[in-house]
Amino acid sequence: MTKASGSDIVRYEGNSGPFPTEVIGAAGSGTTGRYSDNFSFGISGSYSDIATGTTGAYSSTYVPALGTPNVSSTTGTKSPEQLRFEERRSRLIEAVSGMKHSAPNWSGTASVVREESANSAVGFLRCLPGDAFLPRVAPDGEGDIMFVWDGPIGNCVVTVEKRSLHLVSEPGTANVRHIGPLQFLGFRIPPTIMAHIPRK
Amino acid sequence: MAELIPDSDDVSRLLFEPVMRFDRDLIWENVFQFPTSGGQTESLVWRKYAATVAEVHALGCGHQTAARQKGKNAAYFGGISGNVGDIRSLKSANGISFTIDHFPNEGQEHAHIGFTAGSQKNDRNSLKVLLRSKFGAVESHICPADPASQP
Repeated sequence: MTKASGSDIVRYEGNSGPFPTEVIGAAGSGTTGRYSDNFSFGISGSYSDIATGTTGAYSSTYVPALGTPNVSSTTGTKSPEQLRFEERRSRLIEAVSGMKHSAPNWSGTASVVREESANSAVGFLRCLPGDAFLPRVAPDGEGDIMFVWDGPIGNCVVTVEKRSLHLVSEPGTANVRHIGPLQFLGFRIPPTIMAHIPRK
Repeated sequence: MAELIPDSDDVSRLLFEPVMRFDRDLIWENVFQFPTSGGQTESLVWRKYAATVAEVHALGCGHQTAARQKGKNAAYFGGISGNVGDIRSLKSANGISFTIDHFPNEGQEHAHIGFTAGSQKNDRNSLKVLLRSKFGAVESHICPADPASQP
């Protein structure tokens, strides 16, 4: 595996799975696993921590870590912004994965999200390029996952429902747009969705 | 008997601490989830019958007690309030909006908020995001019966 010229790009080679033998994609470093009660609560931060000014990195040939490419890790030089982006993405992936077992709600009841939706949501996060603002995440109450960009970073909602994506851009404004559902197989965000994801 | 709730009235939402801990920097607080299991409705307190915040908190404490008697670990921590007309004015791109109806079978103050007919996923989830903006800040509370509130 070699690091490509983009900030968040890693070239995977020797893939033994059903994907092309050489692909370019975001360097997903997320770890999955059961959500723990000790999971990173109390960590403070803000959107100002998010990386800025990295490359587009979006490629239609992207294959995510879900495809289990046969790669070894790389230790290429990364900027602090890139590292923060990847660290936040990893924490988002961990949060999404944990929602398969327990998802937050404010009604005093237990809830979870569908495993298929959570897995697709992880794939969605791994497909986001390094110049995208990373969203916050929530269970939508219907077994699926919502990604929300709000405040200074944008006004957009993406819902991951099993293997499909729904997007609402600029809800509550005259420019509101609904897109989807569009099929999402975990390795390529449809361009019509990607065009509305807030970027830096 | 169910009454019509006028736009000029206010409603409140009782909030219970999530069972799980989470990172607030990562999690968008989707306090109105409209769970499918609940018929895609959420419960509200009609302030006509709970005019003061103390009355709202008393209802929250009552729900907490009832839940704990059923073995649930519910912890009421406060409420948020909004205006019925403001909430009803929200619309999705497809013209879907919220319904707010009196539901006295579950208490004179009880109301249900739901979606108008024909809503799709994008309608519902964008309205969930917009809905939060129509409610104010949390008016916090710790129930007196909660052991955590005891010295």
